[in-house]
Amino acid sequence: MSKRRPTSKAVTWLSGEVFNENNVSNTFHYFSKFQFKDIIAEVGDYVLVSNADSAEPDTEEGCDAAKILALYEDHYNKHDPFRAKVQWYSKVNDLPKKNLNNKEQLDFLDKEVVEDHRPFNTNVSIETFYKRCYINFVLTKDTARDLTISPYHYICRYRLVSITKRKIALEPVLEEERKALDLLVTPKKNTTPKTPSSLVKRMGRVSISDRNWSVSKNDGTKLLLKRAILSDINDKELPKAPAAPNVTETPKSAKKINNKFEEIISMELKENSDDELPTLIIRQHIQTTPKRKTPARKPSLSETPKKTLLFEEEKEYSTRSGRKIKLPATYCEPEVSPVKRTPHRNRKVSETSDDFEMTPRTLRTPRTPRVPKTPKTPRSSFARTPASVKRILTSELTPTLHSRAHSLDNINEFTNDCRSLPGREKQLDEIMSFVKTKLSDSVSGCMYISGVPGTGKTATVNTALKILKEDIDLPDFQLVEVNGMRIAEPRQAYVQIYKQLTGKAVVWEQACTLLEKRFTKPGPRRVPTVLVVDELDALCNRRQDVLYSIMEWAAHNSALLTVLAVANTMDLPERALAARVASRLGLTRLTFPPYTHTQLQCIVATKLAGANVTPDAIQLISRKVAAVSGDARRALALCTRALEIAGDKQAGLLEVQQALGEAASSAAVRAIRNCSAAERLMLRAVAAEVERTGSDETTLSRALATAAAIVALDGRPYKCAANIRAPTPTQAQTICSRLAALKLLLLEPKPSEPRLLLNVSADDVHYATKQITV
Amino acid sequence: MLNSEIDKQIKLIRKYLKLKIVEDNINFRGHENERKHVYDIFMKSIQQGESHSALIIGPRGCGKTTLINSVLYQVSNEVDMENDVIVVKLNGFLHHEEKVALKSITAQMQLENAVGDRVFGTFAENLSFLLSCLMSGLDRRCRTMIFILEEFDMFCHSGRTQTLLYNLFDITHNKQAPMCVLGITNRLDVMELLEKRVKSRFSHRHIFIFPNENEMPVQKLIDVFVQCLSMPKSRKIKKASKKSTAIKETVNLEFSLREEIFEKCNIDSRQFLDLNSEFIESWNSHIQSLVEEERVVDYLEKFSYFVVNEQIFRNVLFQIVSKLSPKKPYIDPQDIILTIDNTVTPEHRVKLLQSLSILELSLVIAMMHGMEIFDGQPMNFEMVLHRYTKFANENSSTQSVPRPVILKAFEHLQSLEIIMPIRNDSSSGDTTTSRVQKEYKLYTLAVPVEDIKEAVKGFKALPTEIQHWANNSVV
Repeated sequence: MSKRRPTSKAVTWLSGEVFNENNVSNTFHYFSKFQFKDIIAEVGDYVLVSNADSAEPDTEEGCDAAKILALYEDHYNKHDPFRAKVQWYSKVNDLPKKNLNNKEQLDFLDKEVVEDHRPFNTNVSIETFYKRCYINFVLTKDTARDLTISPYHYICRYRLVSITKRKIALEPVLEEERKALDLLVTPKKNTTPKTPSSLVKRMGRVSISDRNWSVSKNDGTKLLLKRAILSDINDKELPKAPAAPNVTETPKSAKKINNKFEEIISMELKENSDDELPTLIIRQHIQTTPKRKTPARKPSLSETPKKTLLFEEEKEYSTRSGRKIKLPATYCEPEVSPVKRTPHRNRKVSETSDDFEMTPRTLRTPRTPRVPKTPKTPRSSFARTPASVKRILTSELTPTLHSRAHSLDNINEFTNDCRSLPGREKQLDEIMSFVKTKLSDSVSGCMYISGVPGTGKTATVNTALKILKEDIDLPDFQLVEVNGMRIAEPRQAYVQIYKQLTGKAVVWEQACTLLEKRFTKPGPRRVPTVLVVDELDALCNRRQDVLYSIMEWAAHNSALLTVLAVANTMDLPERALAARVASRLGLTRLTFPPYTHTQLQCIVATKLAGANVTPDAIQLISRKVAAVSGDARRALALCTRALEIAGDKQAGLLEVQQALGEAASSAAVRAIRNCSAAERLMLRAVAAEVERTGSDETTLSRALATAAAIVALDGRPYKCAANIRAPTPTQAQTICSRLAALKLLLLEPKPSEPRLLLNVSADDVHYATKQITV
Repeated sequence: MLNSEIDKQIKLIRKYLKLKIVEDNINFRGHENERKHVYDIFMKSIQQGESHSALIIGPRGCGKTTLINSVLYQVSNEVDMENDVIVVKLNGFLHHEEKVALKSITAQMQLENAVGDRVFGTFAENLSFLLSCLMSGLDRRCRTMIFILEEFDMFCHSGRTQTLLYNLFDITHNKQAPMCVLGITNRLDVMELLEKRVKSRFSHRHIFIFPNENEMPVQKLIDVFVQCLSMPKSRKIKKASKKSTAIKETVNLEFSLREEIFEKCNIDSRQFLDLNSEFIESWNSHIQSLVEEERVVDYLEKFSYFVVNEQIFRNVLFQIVSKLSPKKPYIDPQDIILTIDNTVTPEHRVKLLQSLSILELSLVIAMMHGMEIFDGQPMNFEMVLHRYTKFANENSSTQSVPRPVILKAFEHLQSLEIIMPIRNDSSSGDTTTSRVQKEYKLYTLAVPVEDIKEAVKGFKALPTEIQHWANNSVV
């Protein structure tokens, strides 16, 4: 294959085709070694794989480590034929925070990875490989000493296994430690993984010498169990892989007398040599001894078709390196170090002094900007002087408010929120089943939710997602919420989404490209995302590019993106959205009908449980609100106001009536009554003119003529009036503009002939002006 | 009393009264229920950490802002405003777009991205930062925020959507922070301006304030008159030292100004200690005698017939007080009458027309007749000239004027905006009209016919032919 298209191929196979027993299809051709750009690796090696979901996929930070299990070429995949099967190693930051079953807080090292057995897609494209890397497997107790600091070197102490779909556990990565743990602590239950600290506590001390192991309990000394890895001596290009944990330690052997121990080791080695060749040597670690390395080379099947024993393999390897001691079981690394030693040693010397500070240091230096600043730091207003401030980056600030000096005593009243949603059970079920299906089937989807304001759309969606978050049968998902009204312009939605996904703040153009990349390219380790877009109509701009791209991502099944779009209007997709957006929005729609009065009654009763309101009053409110809008917010606001009016007494119909009266925004009659007499005169004149002509509009001069007639009927307007006449045109214009400011009249400002439009009903004017005698 | 002494006393009285009329925004009278409502909302937000929103609606000059100020003043005496409350004041005319409003909010709240008055970051950054700040108040450990949005209606249609109002009301509705949002507006139909979703989040508390709801307008004006013009009564206990009298004057007395106002205006209140108590006595009795005078009351009634706006009345009082001088130490009732007349019947346009020359007025009359005949059709200079020459030829007594002079007069009318060029609605028409010669540009009359007739009536030394012509279009 490599001969066929040698130039155009990004990946060159450096070995012949090998046989793989899992190869069921003849379109897959397996290989054992490849070259991609400057990466030359073979099966069993470790690589960094770019994570398209991370903030910067092309840096070390944005990559995940993986071990190559198989390499093959898929001829039918024209797009991306070079594939690899990998075992993932997750960075500490990518571990789920809350689902760990471990009680103790684990201190992870700076460059630590965890063998990840969560159900990620293990089939990746070779072209996503970023760099070679190296992973050292060490015991859980090795914190600082054996740190590999050189670039692309990681250490691995734990592995992550899933117990259920949501529940996962950390256990030591080395099998011998796990076995030792099982047997030492709970000999009966050998499946339960143990936490490292409990291991230390219970094992007490394990001391291993060249030929002997001794494990004694109840001793406070440090666990001196070391896995020596023979360093790769040829060059960096050659694979250097730590061996899989093969040497197992049984409690019996640990407790046995020293000379028996070697037998057991060798026995174990032989047992395991069938599938993987053990290369571990365990010996006592002395404080002064420098770090040792074992040639940890896992021979691929193609190279070692016959099952070789450990000793042969080691010999072969040692010879190649030229200075290895033949017997690997007793191998003790001399002071003269192989290739990799010098940098390590230097590093180590510098670190032995602050051995105990290692753990706090790793904690102190946050690796990602995701780590937030401590919240709720009260800040004095004079702390920041202009001279000291160079540049303020909003993204780096913690949003805080000035804390108050006198604290409130009823804080708890505000923190407990009522989560029951009476009358919305059906919608809640529908949303939950929709999201559940999408999550469990690992597909993308989109749902449009509409309903008038105050019908509980957002509350229902939030409740549904909260319930789903706690559902252990579902895969974990990432929740992203965007509110169209909380962003400055539609394109800021990208920034918000990206910030909630990765914690980084970027400009919208960049966020758009990164999100595009993330959602359109398949990512092997992708966590499903549920995106709630509230106030969808506010995201509509003329081009509708934001809505388009969101809907477009949701159309990709590999994006694992479930979009819940919430808006007020039922026909928004047809009315406001372009056809290309509406089509992608799909037909899954859910409408929240306005609350009926019985539902409103139920809501008010649950929300204001214990409030002193008569049932009649609640019913009156419910019916009044249900007749107009069915807005639960309004019903609650009215009820609160009625309670306020009632004070200590029971809120009854009277108080409710008053609250309703206050909430009715029309006060035209009151406003007209409190106008000045001249203003009322003009209003009457306009109203009379409107009634006379039948059209809503009139002109100032015509209104003035009518006003003159009215004045003539009414008599002298005020005592010192010289004559009975209407206001002058200038006065009339001033009066009309005052009325227009109140919006009782609408005034079309035309200098010669202003047009007047009555903005209240003529009946209101008559009613408000009739009793008053001037 | 010596002349210089009177001089000094008058100056002090004038200064004091001006301060009282213009700067006193704390004293608030009437509207007890509404004031109590606002006070309750504030106190509940501050002391219980509740979230509220309300709208104060009332016509201009009825004291909405004064009400807020007086409530805030009262609250500041009862709670620790410095440490527990942040008052954010926005005005729809100043913060005409959300970008500006946002910066102002950030600066007034002294958030972390603000240094002094300057706010850093882009609009989008500021918005998201401000929102996350406001939402961090969920634990109620932060200060209570009081948002006062004056000219609330202007916030309703600023920008793309009502983002600011949506978020403020959303936070108060969800009780995410101890916050009180108070809108002040004079538009009765303000609720119709709100978007549905914003309206739904608003608590529907409307507080209407209308002037003289419970009292007769005239009586109210008399009250305001007395209140604004009377000097603080000094106590009869004359044995006390000057200083203690001063304290009584500024603190104990009902109508006295508060210290805050002196501080605000950078005026040393101690200078008013020199006021002679006898002089004050006589001044106060003078004011009392003024409101008992029939003429004054009549004119106050006339004022109240046209205007119920207290602010305008205060302006009248200010003009009256400004006229005080050592030569005229008391208010002349005639002054009050004149000022009120000028205020309620400002015939500016008539006066402008009366200031024109005979030729210019003749052109206006010609144009008035022309527009009457052609039913409001715009006219150009040639048409006006034709009508004018027709009239001039009929009346031999009229002085004949060369054409360029008439054109000049016509242009003068245009610059006074008595006639206005018609606007072309279509964009293409704009270029054609600019190419039209100025004699053929179309104009329309910008003053009402009534005003012209009024002006002609009062025009001094107007030839009778013209007067006749103005009232009768038949030449």
